[in-house]
Amino acid sequence: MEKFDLIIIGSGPGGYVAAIRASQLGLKTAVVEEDKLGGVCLNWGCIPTKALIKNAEVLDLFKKGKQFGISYDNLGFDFGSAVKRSRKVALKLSKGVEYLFKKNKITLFPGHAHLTSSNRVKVEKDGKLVNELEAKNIILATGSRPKSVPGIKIDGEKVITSTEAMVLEEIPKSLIIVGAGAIGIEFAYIYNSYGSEVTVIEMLENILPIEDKEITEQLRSSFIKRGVKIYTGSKVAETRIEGKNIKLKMSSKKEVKDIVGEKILVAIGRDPNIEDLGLEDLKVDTDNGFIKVNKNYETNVKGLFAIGDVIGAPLLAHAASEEGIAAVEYIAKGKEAEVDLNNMPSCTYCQPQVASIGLTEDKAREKGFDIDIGRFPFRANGKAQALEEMEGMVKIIVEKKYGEILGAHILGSEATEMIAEIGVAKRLESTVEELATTVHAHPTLSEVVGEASLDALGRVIHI
Amino acid sequence: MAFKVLMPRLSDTMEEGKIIKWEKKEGDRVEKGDVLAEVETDKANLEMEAYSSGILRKIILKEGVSAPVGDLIAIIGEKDEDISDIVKEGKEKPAKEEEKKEEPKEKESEKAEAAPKPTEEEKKEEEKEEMKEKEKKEEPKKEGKKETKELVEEEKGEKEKSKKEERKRIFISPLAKKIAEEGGLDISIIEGSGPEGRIIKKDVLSTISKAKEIKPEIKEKIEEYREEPLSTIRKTIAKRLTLSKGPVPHFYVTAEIDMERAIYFRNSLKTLKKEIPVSFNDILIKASAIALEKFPQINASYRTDKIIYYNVIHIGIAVALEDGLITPVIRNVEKKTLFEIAKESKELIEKAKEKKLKPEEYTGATFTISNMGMYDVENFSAIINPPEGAILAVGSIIKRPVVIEDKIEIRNRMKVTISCDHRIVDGVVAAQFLQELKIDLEKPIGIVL
Repeated sequence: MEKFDLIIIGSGPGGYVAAIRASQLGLKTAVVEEDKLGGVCLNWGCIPTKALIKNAEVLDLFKKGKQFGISYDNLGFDFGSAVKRSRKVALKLSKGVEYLFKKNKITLFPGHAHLTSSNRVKVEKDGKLVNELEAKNIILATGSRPKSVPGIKIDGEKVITSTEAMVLEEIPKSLIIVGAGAIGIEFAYIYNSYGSEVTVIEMLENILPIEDKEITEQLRSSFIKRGVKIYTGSKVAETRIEGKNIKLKMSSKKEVKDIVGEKILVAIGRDPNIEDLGLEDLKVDTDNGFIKVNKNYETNVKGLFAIGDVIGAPLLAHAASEEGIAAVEYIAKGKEAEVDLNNMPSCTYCQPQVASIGLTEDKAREKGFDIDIGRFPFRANGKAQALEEMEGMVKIIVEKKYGEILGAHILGSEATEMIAEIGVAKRLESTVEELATTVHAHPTLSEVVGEASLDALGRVIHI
Repeated sequence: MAFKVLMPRLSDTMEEGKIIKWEKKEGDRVEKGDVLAEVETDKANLEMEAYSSGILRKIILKEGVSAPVGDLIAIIGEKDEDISDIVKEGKEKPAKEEEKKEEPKEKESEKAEAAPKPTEEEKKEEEKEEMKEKEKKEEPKKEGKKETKELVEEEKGEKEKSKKEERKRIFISPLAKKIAEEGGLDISIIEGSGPEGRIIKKDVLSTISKAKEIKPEIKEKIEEYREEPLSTIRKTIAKRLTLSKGPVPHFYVTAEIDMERAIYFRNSLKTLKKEIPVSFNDILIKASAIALEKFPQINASYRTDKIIYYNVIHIGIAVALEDGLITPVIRNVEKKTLFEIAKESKELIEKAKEKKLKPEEYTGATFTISNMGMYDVENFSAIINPPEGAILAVGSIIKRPVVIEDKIEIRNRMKVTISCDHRIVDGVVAAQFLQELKIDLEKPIGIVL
C-alpha cells in the first residue's frame, strides 16, 4: 500500500494540470492512467484535430493560390500524411506531459484505477492487480468518450466516431456527419477541404447550437458556399448498408429523406467515463451519468472529487484544467473555488473559426438584460483585406446601464486567438468603454474587436 | 520597521481629511485592521483602519486638524525604534509644498514690475504665452488629467517608499467602479474580494444590497439632489465673500415670531398623544422643512464649481454634550409626520447624550437647527456646519410687550436667526424663508395639514 496526499485518476488536461498544481503546492501526488498521458485532448481530440485542420487550411490556401497570382500544376495531397503528422504532434505532446510529471515529481501508475473505498485505489493492468494506493483525497478526471445514437451501431468501419475519423487512411468520397457541434463542424471542414462530399445533420435548429445564432447563420452560409450540405432540425433513424455505401434515414418537420454516403461520423456528444471505477459501491451521486459535485468539485463522498468532462458541461479541455486547479487549491489550501463559466471561452477551429465567451444575444435577452450590441465585419478591416480573410464579424453584447461586457462572439480566420483579449477584459471586469479605448495596433485583425466595441457605444469609425 | 500612516483617500473626491478623533493613543498597541481614527471627509465621517500592526508611536496630525490625502499623520513602529527621521520628514513636507505654490506668483509680479512696456507685437506674443500658461494651469483641473497626474505621482511615491507601506490607491475594477458611482456608493467603504483585495462587481452589489437593508434611502441617493453649475456672477460672489469672511461667508437675518398659537398647538398635541410629547423643537423642525421645500436655495451646498440642491430634507439638531456638541440627523423630514419627528428626535437626542450615535445618524444633514431656547437666550447667531448652506439659531420664548392692532399686548415671542452661506443664498431669500417660517409657526395648523 503506497500512501499519497492526492491520487488523480486520469491524465487528460484536467488530471495532469491538477497533478502539477498539487505538486507545486507540496502535495505528494499520484496519477493513474490506463492509456497514453494527456488523455483524449492530446491524443484523440483537441491537438491531433488541430494538426489535421492546419493541413486542410494549407490545402485551402493552395486552392486559393490564383487569388494571389500563384499557380501550379498537378496539386497533390494525401490524407495519410496529414494523419501521420497529426499523430507525431500528439505523441510529442504526450511525451511532454511525461517530462512535466518527472519535473514535478508526480508518480505515474499505468493501469486501470478502481476505488475500493473513499480513500483507496487499486490499480489493475491486464486484469491483474499491480498496485494499491491510499490518499486522503482523490480526484476523478476520467473524461468522456463519443456518444452513440440509439439505433445506429458504431462499427468503426462504416459508422465511425471522431477517434476513427482522425486516422482514416483515405478520404471517403462522401461523409455524413451526425451532429453539428464543434466536433462535427471541425470534421466537416477537414473532409470538405480534402474533397469529400460532406453532409451535416443536426437535430437542433442551428449548427453549433450553443453559439450565437447570428454567428452560426453566417457560418452556415459560408459552409454551404464551400459545398457542405446542412440539414438542421432533423433526426436520424436507421441505417442500411448498400454495397460500398451506407444509407441513413433522416426526418425533419418538412420531409423524410434517405441520405447515402460512404461513411457516417457520429458526433452527437460525449458520454462520461464512470464505469468500472467502483463508484456504485461508494454510492457516488450522478446526474444523467455525469458525476455530481459541489462548488468545490467534491462529490457527495467526502474527500472524493471530480473534474472535467466526467462532471458534465462545458466539456472543454481548458474548463477541465481550471476545475482541476480549483479542486487542488481547495484540497491544499481550503481556498473556495471560483471557476466562472461565464468567462469560459469556447472555440471551434473550422474556417472561418468560431470563438465566443459569455452570453449569446438570445441568452442575454432571456436573462432580462437591457443590451446594446456592437458589430463589425472583417470585410471593413484593412488587414483582413490584405490577408484575403474577409469572412465573419465580431459581435459584442453589452449591458446598457454600466457597459458590462456580457458576451463576445467572433467568426473569422483568427477568431480563436482573438477571443483571449475579451477574456482578459471580462476577467478584469472592464466595461465596453475600456475595451473600445484600448489601442489596437494597425493593421491587425484585432482592430475589429475595438471597432465592434465602439459600435456598441455608437462611435464606430470605419463603417 | 516603522510604518508611516498617511491620510487615506476614503472617498473618490476626497482631497483632504480632518481627524475628528484618534481612537488610539500614542503608545497603544494597534493591529492591522484596528480603527485608528475617525476622519471627516468631504462626504462623511469615516473610520480609518490601520494597515500595519505595531505600537502607535506618534500622532502627527492632531484632532480637529485637516491634512491633504497622502500626508503623514502618524507613525506605527516598534516600541524602541528610532522614528525621528520620519517625524522630521512629516514636519518638513507641507512647508515645502507651500513654498512651491508661492513661487510662480512672486515671479509673475516681479516680471510685471520690472518689465518695460511691451510693444504691440510683444503684447500679442505675451498674450499668446499667457493663453498657453492659462491652458497649462487649467489643464490639471480637468478631471481625467488630474487623475492621471495623481496616479503618476502615486506610482512614483510607491517606488520611492517602502513596499510594505500602506497604500492609498483603491483597487477597483472599471465595472465595479461604474456601478458604485451610479449607485452613489463611496468606494472607500467597500471591501474588495478580488486578487489583492481588488474591489469587483460582486463586492459593490453586496455592499449596495446591505446598505439598502440598513437605510432604504440609499436607493434614492441618485435622486437626492440636482447639480447646477455655478454662474460667473455666483463664482465672483463666492470668491469675494470668502476673502472677506472665512471659507464660508456667513450673513445673518433675524426675525421675531409670535408663539402664542404654537404654544396652544403644542399643548393640544400633548393631550392628543401623551406617549409622544411633541417639543417646540419638533414643531420647528417640521416648520423648517415646510419652509425649506418652498426655498430650496437654502437646502443646498456650495462646492468648488457647482451648487448642490438637495431634493430631500435631512435636518440636523444640535445637541449639547459635556465636551462639545453633535448634530443627530432626522432624515426625510419632508415625508414625516410631527409625531414621527418627535419620536425620532427624542431617541436620537438620548443616543447623542449617551454618545451612542452611529456615523450615519449624525452625518448627511442638509440643514441644521440649533435651539438654545432652554438656556434663556434672547437671540444668537450660529456658525454653518459645512457643507450645509444654512443654520437656524433659535432663542427662548420670552414674554414681551408687542403692539397688536394699536394695543400693547403681552405675548410669547421667539427670536430666530438664520445664518446663510452667501455664496449660494442672498439676503432676500433668507428673509423670505423666515417669513414662511413665521407663517408656519404663527398659524401652526399648516404643519399638520
